[in-house]
Amino acid sequence: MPEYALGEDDSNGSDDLLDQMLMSTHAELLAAIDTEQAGGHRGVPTTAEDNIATSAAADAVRASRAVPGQRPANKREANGTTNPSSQGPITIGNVHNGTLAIGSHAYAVNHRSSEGRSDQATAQLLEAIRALRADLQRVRHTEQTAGLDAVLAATEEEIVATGHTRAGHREYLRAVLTASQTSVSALASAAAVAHLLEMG
Amino acid sequence: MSEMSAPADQQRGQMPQPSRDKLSLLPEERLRNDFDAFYVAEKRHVIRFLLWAGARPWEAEDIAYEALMRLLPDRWSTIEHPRAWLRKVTCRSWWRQHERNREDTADALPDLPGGLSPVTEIELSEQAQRVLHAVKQLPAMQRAVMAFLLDGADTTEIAGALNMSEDAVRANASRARRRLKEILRFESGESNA
Repeated sequence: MPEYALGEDDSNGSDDLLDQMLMSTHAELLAAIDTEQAGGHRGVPTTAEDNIATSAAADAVRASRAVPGQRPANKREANGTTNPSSQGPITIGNVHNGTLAIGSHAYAVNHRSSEGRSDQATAQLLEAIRALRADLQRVRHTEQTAGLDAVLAATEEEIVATGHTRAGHREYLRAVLTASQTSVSALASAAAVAHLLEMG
Repeated sequence: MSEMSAPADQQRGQMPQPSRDKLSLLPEERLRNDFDAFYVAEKRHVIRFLLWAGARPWEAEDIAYEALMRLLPDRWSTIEHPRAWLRKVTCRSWWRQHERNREDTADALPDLPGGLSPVTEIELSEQAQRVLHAVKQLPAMQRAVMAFLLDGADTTEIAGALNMSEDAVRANASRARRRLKEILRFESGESNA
């Protein structure tokens, strides 16, 4: 009897069938997660600083830190046998596309973009999104165009704030754009956004 | 709470085993000294755990990521059972988020799949979708118990993580399994599966 049956004793075999279905799904889920993650992996965080880089509140958190991003540099520090803060490093944070650290135990954290899009492609997408939003103001206002504009605004905001878009946002924008095709098919800017999303 | 994944998996000798990432079978010492290896090995398992608990893929990814983030920089080196801790924390985090979402019915903003997460959707076979759909019809506590069980936790560990008695864990598991069998048989049209 499977361990997680926890006392169930079903002699007609339905427990076995259920277990097979659960375990098969369990394995399939992991494979599907791996496939999905391979397409848009966020990357292994190297420091707490690196982790919060994806948060909308990252700047606020960084600003509140006297010594940001202190990762134990070696095993001794990880075990608490030294006190990194007593070394008095000076760290300059909030450098776009990276972090500069100065000090005896300081280290530089490279903010990796997990999206793999070039700056130029992102800039083109931002430009196209803005053009489409401007065009949307000139077409008949419907629930569909309002929804599309909201998603465009969110994507624009993300690009401005972080310098890139997440795969999830791009996928969603693509889906909303497709759903709004009847309203925006005449707009060249919509085609441009769709094209850039496809390229991404 | 004892470390849940590997020991429980080893105990489950008669079960068809889920394929485990090789990294999660690395010696504990290796993982303890290598956060990157732990991150890669565990994040996917935690995402799956949350999917069983009822989270959507992008929610699961975000919650898993945030929980792993909380282990840095210092907690990672001091916490006794990081795997168990991750599941306990992410399960509770998911419940809190789920409750907030339920309360916020007047939210005018579109629900953005992806959120902060690169995980949007995962593709599953028809049978896997049917099983997941069935699990989602269970009450939250039963889903959580099933998620822990499928992740290899034993009754004592689940009781500790969910702050309930071992009897309650067994009862939830039993009810969940009974209900799943009813749902799956009903949906597949099988009366004597």
